[in-house]
Amino acid sequence: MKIEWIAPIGKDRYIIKTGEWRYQKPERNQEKCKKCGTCLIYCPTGSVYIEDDEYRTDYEFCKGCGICASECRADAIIMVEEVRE
Amino acid sequence: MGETIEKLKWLLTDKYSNKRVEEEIRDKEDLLSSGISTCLGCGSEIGLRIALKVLGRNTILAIPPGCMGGVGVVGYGTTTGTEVPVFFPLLDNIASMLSGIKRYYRRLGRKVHVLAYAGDGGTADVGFQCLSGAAERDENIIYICYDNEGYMNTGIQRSGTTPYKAWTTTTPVGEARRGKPQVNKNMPLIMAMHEIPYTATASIAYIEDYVSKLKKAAEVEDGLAYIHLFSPCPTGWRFSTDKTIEVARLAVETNFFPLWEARYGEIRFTKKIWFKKPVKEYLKAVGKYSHLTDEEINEIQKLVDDRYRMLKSLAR
Repeated sequence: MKIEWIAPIGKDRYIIKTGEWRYQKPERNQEKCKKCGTCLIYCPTGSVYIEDDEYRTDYEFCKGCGICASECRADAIIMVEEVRE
Repeated sequence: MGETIEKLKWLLTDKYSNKRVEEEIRDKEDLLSSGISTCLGCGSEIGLRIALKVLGRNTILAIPPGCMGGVGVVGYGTTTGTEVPVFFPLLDNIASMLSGIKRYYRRLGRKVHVLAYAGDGGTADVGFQCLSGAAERDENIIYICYDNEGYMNTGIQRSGTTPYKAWTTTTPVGEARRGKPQVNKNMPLIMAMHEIPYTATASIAYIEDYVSKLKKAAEVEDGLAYIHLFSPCPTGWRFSTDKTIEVARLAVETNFFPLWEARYGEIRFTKKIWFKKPVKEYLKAVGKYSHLTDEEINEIQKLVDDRYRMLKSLAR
């Protein structure tokens, strides 16, 4: 008998919309971005992704901790206040 | 002249090496759920995310009670926070439980990585006897200890790795006491002295170093691999959430937490600090040391220097 997986994995994913916690959000200046990838490797929630050769932030899970803005060498990311309806 | 020195200093820091490691890990599958409820700026979450990216799908994870268990990596009810099988051992049997799991898969003839991601309480205090036993029996498991220097999940109590004079809720600062009166355990060195195949210290500020150590740990086949990951905690250490990486980097640059690896007890430094900073810079950046006077800072500087000198005498 061939076993596909190594051990049972839980049925559903445990997902909380952590983006709702945010009180400040990162905004990116694509012209200043040097594409060094520092924000991607240090993002705790794994919210930075690459699309069309640009680094972007997925606001669904970003908690707004500000690590990307403080680590960015090119000062391409600034934190702005989150405005909700 | 000053500008050249600044540029040289930058070249010797970690930041220029980020691109290399970013290209390596960015296309790998993220096996940890994005929506786990860690605090803002959590260092341990970065550590686990990268560990799972490097080790891949063929991993069995054990998360004991602690921050990572509480935030939903193990999950609640029928849910789970990871895409890999995850177990929930007790605080005091992490390494024993994984030894059994590894032996079963070895018997089946399947190659899996068995990974423990435990806090410093589960490693240095409560889970120490079974970890020490597993190290002595040469059980082939990968054990990562994320060291946030206290029982952060239950409300910032002191642990065996809380440093000297640090504030916690059980070592308060007042007229009678000024933080923790004892010196912390040198946990990574204790593990290196078991003469296991691989021991390393890592920091979340030096991801390239951490990834290379994870790969070396994954290659070990004849015993236990132990990685001690320095992971600052904004909530428990009292600093702003965006300073996590900065604090972790300062700890390495001041030799408060030197980066090294050991193969069968032979120690080798992996990060040479060219411009060593005084430990005061690190202590000033962290709120749990904000009560320290200059004399106490000098005392800590002496402790840090003594530990580094001792480590250097062991290294080759």
